[in-house]
Amino acid sequence: MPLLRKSFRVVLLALFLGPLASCRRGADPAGALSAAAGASSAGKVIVIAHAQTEGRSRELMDAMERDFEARHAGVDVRQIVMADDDYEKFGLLNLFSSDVSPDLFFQWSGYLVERDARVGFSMELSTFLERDRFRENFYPEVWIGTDWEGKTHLLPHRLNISVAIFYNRDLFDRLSLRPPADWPAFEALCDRLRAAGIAPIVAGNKDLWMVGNWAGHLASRIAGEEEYHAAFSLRREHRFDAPGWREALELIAGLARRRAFNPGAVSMTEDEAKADFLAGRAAMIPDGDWLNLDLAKLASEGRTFRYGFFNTPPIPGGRGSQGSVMGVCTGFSIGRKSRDPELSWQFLKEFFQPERQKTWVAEGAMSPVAGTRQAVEIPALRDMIQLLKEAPKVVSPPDTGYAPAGWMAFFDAVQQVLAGNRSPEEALREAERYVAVFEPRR
Amino acid sequence: MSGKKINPAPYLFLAPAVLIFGLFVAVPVLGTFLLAFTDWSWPQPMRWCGLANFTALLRDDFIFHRALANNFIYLFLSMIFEISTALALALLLARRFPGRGAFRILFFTPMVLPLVLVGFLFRFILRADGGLFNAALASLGLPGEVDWLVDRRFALAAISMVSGWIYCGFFLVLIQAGLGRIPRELLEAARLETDSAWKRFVHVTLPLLREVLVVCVLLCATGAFKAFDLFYVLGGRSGGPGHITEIVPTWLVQQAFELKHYGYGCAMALALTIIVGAIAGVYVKIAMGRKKEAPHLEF
Amino acid sequence: MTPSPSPALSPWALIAKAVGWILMAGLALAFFAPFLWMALSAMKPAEKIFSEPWAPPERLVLEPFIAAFQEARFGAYFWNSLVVTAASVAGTVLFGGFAGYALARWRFRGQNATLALFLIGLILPVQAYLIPLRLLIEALGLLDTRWALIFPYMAMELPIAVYILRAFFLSLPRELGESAALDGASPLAVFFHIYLPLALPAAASVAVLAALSVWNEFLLAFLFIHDESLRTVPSGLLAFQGIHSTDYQLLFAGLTIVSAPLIAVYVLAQRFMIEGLTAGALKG
Repeated sequence: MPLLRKSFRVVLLALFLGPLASCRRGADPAGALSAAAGASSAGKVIVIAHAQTEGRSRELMDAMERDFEARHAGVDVRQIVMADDDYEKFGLLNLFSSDVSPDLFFQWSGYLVERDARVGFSMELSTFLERDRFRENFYPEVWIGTDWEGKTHLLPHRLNISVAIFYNRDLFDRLSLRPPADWPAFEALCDRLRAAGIAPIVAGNKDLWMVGNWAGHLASRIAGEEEYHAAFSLRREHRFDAPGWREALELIAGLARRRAFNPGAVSMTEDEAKADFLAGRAAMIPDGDWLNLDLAKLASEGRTFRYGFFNTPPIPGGRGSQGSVMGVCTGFSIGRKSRDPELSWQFLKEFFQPERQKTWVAEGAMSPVAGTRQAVEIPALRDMIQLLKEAPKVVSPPDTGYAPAGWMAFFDAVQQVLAGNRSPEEALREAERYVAVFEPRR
Repeated sequence: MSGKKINPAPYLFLAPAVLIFGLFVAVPVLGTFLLAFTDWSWPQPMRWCGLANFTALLRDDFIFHRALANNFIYLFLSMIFEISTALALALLLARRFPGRGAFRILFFTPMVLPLVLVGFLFRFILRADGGLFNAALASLGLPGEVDWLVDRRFALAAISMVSGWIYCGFFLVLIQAGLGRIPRELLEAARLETDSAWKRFVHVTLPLLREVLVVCVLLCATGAFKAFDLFYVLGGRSGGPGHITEIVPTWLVQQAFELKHYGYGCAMALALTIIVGAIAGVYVKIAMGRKKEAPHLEF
Repeated sequence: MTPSPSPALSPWALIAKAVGWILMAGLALAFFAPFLWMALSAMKPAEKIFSEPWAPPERLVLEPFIAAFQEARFGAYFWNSLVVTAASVAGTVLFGGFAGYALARWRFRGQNATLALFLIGLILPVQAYLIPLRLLIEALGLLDTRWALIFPYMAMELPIAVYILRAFFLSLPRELGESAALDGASPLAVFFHIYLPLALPAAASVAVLAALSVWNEFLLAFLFIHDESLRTVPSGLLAFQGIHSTDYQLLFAGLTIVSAPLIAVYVLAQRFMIEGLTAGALKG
């Protein structure tokens, strides 16, 4: 009995004190970093935060880490990796408010780059770029949403087309369909697919951006790019309940009414929708160019999936550019609190070498680095690069281009219309009310 | 008093608990009180703003109003799905039959699992396309293509049903404990009075279960305002289309943590605390009052 | 006709009983169906999970579970949950025991205030302190460490622990410790050698209650830990679902892996766990 009592006490203490020893050990890289920072003579540390959790982009990062450590003796490269949703909402901000403020970090162009520059997270890179004539390393048209007050804060690493309509060529061929010339033709195409018992469009709007971006693109086509920009920038006199926006949502409602979308479009994730498209369960999917990566992966597994894509079809009578493309880029910034900006810059310079970037361009990504386009082997991707290069206007997606209040209101309106819970008019009136409450227009 | 020596022992024994609770709960609660009167919203600096947050909350924030209404609907539905189901099960299980204990164990199982896990499981079950629930309806000959978690008619009820599945076992155990405390003689006597089982239930069993039921309702009501996990997983990003499944705790997390409106979030937290405190207060009062009336039933 | 305790049942009553039992069994099966579906779906090829939701797997296989365990960092998640739970439960029982003992054993100034403090803690929703707690954790430099969870969990579980243990110590005769104290034993020794061993049953139900709520806690784990290697099971599950959101077989296997040990422990110790979990409610 005394033995039992004694062991109970020991167990209690051990359980409590146990994590004292192990709490920080698991906290890699944060824990290891503070240890390394304590002994500065042991070498330099470069912390890079990003959201490439898997696949080719992650391999690229790992290879870069190895090579950089090999080339620069004594330098320790540490990656902090998070899922992108987590990274965007909480993760990156947490890092900046903890003692592990990153030397290099991943970011989306547009609003977030501006925010990082404004609040002092990122460092201006123009000086480095001019000094080393490094701007020539990129294609000239890629510096979109990378600057703040005339200074570059982000090196673009990947170009994206946020919305394209991918289609299954086999299903299209079966009904001898061709990409539509304009919106009415697109609607007719949906009807024909539906009539033939083929689900026309699969979408996964659980996270709001998939159909949200598309509806945004439609709005910019109908109301014009200036109006689009002004309304999302929350300028006074530019409202979501104006006619152009309503017409855009009427188009989405029209698709929903003709049962062009899958029944779970509102609650499925993009991944789930993608899986349905790749399994041939629907003819089209409105998605970003990153779908090329999945398709390339499919091909590498020996599965043939014949596909093509087209831009959002022109809308007759629209005031915006009917050839506009919705696009964004992602890239890397140097943290303003970086322990060694020069070394971080060196890291970026080596990272952005064409030879290195080519390896994953071949897998289906669009790189802004000059000299990488020759490496593109996927025909659809080549066409996309061409589309982006020749686009008369590039429109930023709402959620990366602008402050949250506006796009959250708009995305919710789109989702309500998609769900059939509200008419476009009601949904947009509510969106405007949301803006008025949370971020009044100025 | 002045000459008395103070025994340090109780203070030393209390110190660790009071320090930990004080630092990680009590001090932050005070922080909530203070921040609720500021307009702090990262990355802007903090300023006092008086009652501005509260007027915004009560007058302008129509999504908060919706969330609050949803919270009350959820409270009402979860009482039906949790307590009524539990009461019915308890009465069914009151008879003696083989395997009675096993049923009780079975119904309690969901209580031991993380709500996130249950949420994911039911996200699959309630899926529009190929979900188990729609498949079950289809096999009964009912047309099933409803997307339960985003349809404004059903979404809250669907989540409440899941919540009922989780908690009815818990309330079942509480109610069984209450039934076990009813003296057998009373029931026997009632049996002589009337043959109607329903009359016996309404006039004898239910009044005697009053205190247990008060505890259940209290737990269910405060639980409804503390819920987060299930709604976060089942409700989708930003509370479903048109915030149909937004409740105060999820709206608070979005305002405070996604949008970094710390001051406003604290005002909402304060409002939530007042609601939970008021419900707790009302029921404690009722429970106390009832206890005086029926002193023979002691807990 | 008077009801007799165990008469020979009439055939009709017997049939009614049987029908009732079958109904109850059906109800129980429907209630348990989600678990069965989860475990069985994990053994089906992904494309059949939603296209043929009722079809049983062709054969029982273990590979998906092994794959899920290796693919997702479930090992790490379990380890993190284990460390966090063990530490916070041990702290809760130990410090809650200390405090409950002090509040039961002595009369002292501030006693009622302390009791009231913990009483408030019993009804306070986590949202009441969530936002400043996040800022505090950040200021203490605890973000993305296990302490960011251990300390708040202890603080959250302490009120109920104090109440249950205090009630238990109050039920013990005061004379127990007095003779030992007269023999010169220190208060700490009296507590550890005499009172705590007697309080084992109450301590155990406190431990069960705390362990389950800590193990399953999601909100703080989700808000305070972003380092993949430190995630606990519930927030790890969210990350796992995010990464493999269409690998349905893997997902179902993952859900099964997470629930299996909990259900196993529950089946082994169900009496204990049911009592532990409801103990708090009936004392409240």
